Amino acid sequence: MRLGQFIAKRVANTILVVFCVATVTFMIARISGDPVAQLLPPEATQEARDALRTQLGLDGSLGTQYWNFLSGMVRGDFGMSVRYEGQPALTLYMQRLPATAELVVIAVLLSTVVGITLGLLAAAKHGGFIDAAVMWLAAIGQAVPAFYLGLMLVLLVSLQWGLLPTGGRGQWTHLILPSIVLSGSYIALTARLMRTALLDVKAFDFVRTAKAKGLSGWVVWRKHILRPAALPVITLIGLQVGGLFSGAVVTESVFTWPGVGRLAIDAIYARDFPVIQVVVVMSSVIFVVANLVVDILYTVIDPRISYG
Amino acid sequence: MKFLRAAITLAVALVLANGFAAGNTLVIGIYQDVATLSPVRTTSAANLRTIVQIVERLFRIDPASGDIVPYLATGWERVDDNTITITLRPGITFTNGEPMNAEAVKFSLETLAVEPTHMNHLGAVERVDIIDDLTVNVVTSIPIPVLPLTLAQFGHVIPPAYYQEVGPDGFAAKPIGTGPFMFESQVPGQSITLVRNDNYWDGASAIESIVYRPIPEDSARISALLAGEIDIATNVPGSQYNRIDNANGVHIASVVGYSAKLGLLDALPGSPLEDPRVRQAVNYAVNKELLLEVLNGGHGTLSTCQTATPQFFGHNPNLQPYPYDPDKARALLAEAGYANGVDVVFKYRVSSGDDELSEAISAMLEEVGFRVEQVLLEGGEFLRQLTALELRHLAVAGISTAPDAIYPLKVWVTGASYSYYSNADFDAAILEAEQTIDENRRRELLHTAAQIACDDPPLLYLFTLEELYGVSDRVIGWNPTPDNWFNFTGVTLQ
Repeated sequence: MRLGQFIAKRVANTILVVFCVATVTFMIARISGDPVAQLLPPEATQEARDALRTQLGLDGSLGTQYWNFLSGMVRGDFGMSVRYEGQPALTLYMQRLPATAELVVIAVLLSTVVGITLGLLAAAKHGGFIDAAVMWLAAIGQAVPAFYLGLMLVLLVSLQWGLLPTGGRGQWTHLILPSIVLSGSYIALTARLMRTALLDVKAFDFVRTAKAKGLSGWVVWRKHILRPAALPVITLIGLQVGGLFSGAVVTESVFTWPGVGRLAIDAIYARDFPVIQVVVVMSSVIFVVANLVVDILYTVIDPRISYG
Repeated sequence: MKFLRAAITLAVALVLANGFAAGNTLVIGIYQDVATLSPVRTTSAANLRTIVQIVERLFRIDPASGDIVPYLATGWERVDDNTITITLRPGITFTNGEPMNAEAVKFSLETLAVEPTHMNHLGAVERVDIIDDLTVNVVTSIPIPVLPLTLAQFGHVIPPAYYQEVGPDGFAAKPIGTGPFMFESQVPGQSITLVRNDNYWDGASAIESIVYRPIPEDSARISALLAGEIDIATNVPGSQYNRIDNANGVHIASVVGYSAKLGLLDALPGSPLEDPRVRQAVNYAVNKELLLEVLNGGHGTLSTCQTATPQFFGHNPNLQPYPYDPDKARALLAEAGYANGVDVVFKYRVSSGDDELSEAISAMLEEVGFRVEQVLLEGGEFLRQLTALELRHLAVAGISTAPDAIYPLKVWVTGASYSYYSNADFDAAILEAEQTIDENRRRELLHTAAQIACDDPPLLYLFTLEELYGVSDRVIGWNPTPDNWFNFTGVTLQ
């Protein structure tokens, strides 16, 4: 029941957040410039500009446009794209979403599995060679910018060895390099966080108690160390899912991945208001939902946490 | 051993799965996603280089001479100042079976004339009269000497029944025309596929299909070319010239386009550049050859005190570039009363290739006594300031027009939407040229205007950069055209 209330409250919060995000996006987009200027040659007459503005539904007052935007959004209608004239903004977004989702899911799985494994190894062999190697790798993983890693991998794996395609979306081979690049820094982050969390938990009294009770090493690890140590890692994964849905821009550019990030960048350059709005609003929804899921998972994993 | 075998098998499988550009499909890596497939809605080369394979125009521009040559029309004749008669090629049908005739041309031109996108150049088309099935009269509200050229650029002919049936959005989703290729499919952001029109009126192409792949990142596009995934890479930056030139199996193809790089000079009242001597000083202070050499490997031609290249109608052959002469620049500044230097604001766009150029020009201007404050602008904001007349006092920009000198000149007429310049004699010459049908008189007027704009310059004249393409050696017989659209007539793939 308490969880139900908690979720209801969070959903209400979410609606408020999305409303605010939508409003801010609407304002910022309009302050930033005029899509008509980019669609017509600079020498176009005022008459042509006005005609195009009417055609694109940009002729009303700011208040009218804002009202149309909000009332449309409630119905799931974000208006027609300006750059891709005649195509609904939401359709454009939904066309690109699967590509980004595919990449994000694989990158999150990869960073979680590899990151947790490395973190576990490092913590288990604390102070040893493996620990040092993992920490070293993690430092590099976090320090190397994604675009550099991407370009280097393309040069080496695609051009030098001819093993994988340089970019684009198609077979599973197209996924390998982008998911490595996208997950790179998160693998490093997850590994570090996992290691630190494990080492922290290991030092707690209840672990010593469990050991003193004569429980086997494996049971202690599984029940008393891994479970509490998983909390920060789950938070990280939640943030990562939210962030990657809008933040895969660099990877998508380097590998020409036809995802949401690329759509967003093009829309911003073209001042394609409806598309900018749909991308930002949908990203904020995904972000908030991912955080909600993390909060709920907390209660499942750690019985000490409850919301009310 | 077993492991090694498995690894080799995997590697081979990977290589096979990559999907090389091969067979009879031409794969083109374009730098920008195609925003629309409807010629009714665009004038941009980024879209038209796909569209013109499907939908054809009444005339076309000969890439070598810049002359207007027949296409769907066989010829044109001027009846009076406001009317031209166009004769159509007989026996052509659209790929949906509709006939390409006078009725189709009337519908197409009258549709284009009221579109905001085309209003600027076709808005003066008042009506199209059908004389017979293959002859039309195009009537304009004012005399338009460049009408045939405009029709060679934007006189797209679309099938009336189909366009009315599916509407503008439906047409953009699945365009139909008379061209050598037909629209097949589109994966948003990923690819557009065209297939050969086997019944093409000018003989079917040897290429079975064309795939356009948007690859906006320069290095990714060139990597895809080097890996054999695409056959042509558009918009190769000068800095990547050698990477392609030195590689096996690919080469560079280049063309001097209908465009020019320029420095916009603010001659409006109150500007430190209002005095023509200061604008001349800017032109003397900049070492154009050096910039061209360093920034684009010398791949381009210097502007000869006009942005029009020799292919343009009305290009003035008597003009010469301002020589690089910093002493002369200093002397002119002193004459204008700026012996102790002068403060100017220099604006340019982020990452359009203009930033390096602008920084270099700023340094050269500093050499002769300008104190330059550099302001970096995002592309959209730059455009806004351009037409709001806020791009003061200097800005680096590009201009790209059809090959007639009237286009790059008329934008500097007093009061034009982004003119920072005013010269009564210049205005008079241009305004007369705009409505002068007689070719000799028109050429004379354009020469006069170009001469004025050289002596009292609205611009820092720079150069026309060569448009560079990376091309796979398996593409035989293709040359880029100055408009940067594509023409694959006679092209074969090995």
